[in-house]
Amino acid sequence: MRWLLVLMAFLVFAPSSIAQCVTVADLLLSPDNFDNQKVVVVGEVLGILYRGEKAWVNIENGEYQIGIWCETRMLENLKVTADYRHRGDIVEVIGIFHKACPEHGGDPDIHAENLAVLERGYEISREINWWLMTLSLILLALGLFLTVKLRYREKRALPYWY
Amino acid sequence: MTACALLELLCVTEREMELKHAILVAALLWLAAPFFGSLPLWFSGQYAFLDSFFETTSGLTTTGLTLTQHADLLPKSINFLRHLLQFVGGVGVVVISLCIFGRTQISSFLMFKGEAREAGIRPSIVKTSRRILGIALTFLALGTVLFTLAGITEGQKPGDAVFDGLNHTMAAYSTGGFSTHSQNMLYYHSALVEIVALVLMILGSLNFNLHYAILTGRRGEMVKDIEIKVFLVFLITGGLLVGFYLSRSFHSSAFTIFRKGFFHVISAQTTTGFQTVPPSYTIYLWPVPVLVLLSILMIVGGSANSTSGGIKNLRLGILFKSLLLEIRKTFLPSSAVVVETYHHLGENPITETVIRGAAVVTLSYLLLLGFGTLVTTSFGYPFHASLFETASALANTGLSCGVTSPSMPSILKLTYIFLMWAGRLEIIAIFVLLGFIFLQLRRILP
Repeated sequence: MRWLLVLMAFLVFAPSSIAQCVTVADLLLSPDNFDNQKVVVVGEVLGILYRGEKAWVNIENGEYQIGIWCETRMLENLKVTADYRHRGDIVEVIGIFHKACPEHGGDPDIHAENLAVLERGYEISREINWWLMTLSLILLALGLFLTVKLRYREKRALPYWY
Repeated sequence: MTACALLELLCVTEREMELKHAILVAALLWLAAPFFGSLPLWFSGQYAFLDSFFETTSGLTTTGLTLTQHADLLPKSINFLRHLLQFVGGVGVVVISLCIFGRTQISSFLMFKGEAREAGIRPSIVKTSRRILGIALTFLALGTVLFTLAGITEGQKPGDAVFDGLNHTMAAYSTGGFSTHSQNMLYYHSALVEIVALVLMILGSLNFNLHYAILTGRRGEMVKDIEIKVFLVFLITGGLLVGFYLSRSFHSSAFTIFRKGFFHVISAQTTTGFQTVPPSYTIYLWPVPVLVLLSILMIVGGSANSTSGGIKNLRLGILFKSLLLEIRKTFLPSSAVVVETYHHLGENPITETVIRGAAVVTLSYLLLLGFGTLVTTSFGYPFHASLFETASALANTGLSCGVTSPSMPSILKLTYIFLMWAGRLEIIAIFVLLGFIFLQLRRILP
């Protein structure tokens, strides 16, 4: 009988305490389903904005992005933010999702309880396209030459309104 | 640059440029420039060709609708180019509207007051361009400093803050709306950054004539000008209504409603397109009346001779005054002569020509809005989303509720390219271009 009571209590309280694994798209496309609930989200770190003891970490998952409001001590392991030359750290965030956070001007956000680095970011090697580089330089040189030539021609015979 | 220089060298004529030539050149330039401008984006491998053409058209017309999915991951050079296109397009359109469209019968009241109408078009363009560039570069420097300081205050690295500051100033002042971040202004989660953006958006949407008047000491124009009055009427009415409908949605506090509502009302009315909510929120969570109200504000637009799009406050002010004039006439004897004026850098009479010009442009905008909405709905999008996105493209705004994406049908992309182009040139140029094509065809065909 005691076991049955424990099981019932677990079933009643479990949804509010166990985090649901979701994508950022789930949160932003169906925010009503997850408002004020604990969620687990995985995403690539796009940028960090430090605000004293706290910080905003913007993460991207697929085509969607969201801001994570967390304590700066959680960011000690974060090293790489994403840009053209870098793959950002992949993090797993556990926290409370707010459809329109009253504390942050109505922004959709997650107040993080835990933030863990799943995969370390790295530098992406980008090769130069020499064909395009050569073409660009030729066009630049041609453009500059013609502009200077035109300027010289105009200066020789300045119009009345110049 | 090379193409322009080659044209200048090879296509030489002794003839003085006439108004029809200037309009034709403007119309074709706004098609040719996106083509050449799209090449770097296409070569970067980040976009398909049509997408790069769309993006460049959106940039040069200062629209801000984007097909970029991961703006944060773009090379810095490409991101800079996108924003530079908006700045160049914004300054360019003011020059064209002051020097070329201002001379047409249809919008004769838009002429730059400082210029002699009798002066040739080319000298006028050169002189006006210098003045406008001077003003624009001053605001660019000022805006970059403000955005940078705001970014650093809100926890950004100084290097990133400067880069973002420069790009966002170009986007805000040209009322473009591109951002270096996929989240747009939401990336910062900052009221301070939003305030800086608001100031620059409003400055960009004000008439350059007014900038010039204020800079030369005529500060009284600020309170007397009909454009400012119309702008404030729409801002206050639109703001209150948007606030009312948002208060009935999921936003709980008055501060949140004010921050989200006011920012988007200004963004829509100045036709900038900066957003602080995800596009999915706009379409799924915001009440439909909010979308309709924002669409109306986008179509109303900012001031004439500014970087903003839309019908323009001046035209709507004139139409409203002409409506009052007609009502007054009905109560007066038929022999009475009634003269109505509007204040725009001095008192100007409301003549038949002025009313006709304003009415033609307004009607054309509404027809194109209907056309674009119809095309969008035919692809299965909801009516309110279609209206919103079409208004955004036509008024060169850039607010999106998610219709604009790389996966949208190519015909819709082409439709929006046409709308952005037509809206930017205030539709007048299209009439002239079509007339020119018609005349040429009539000459060729028996």
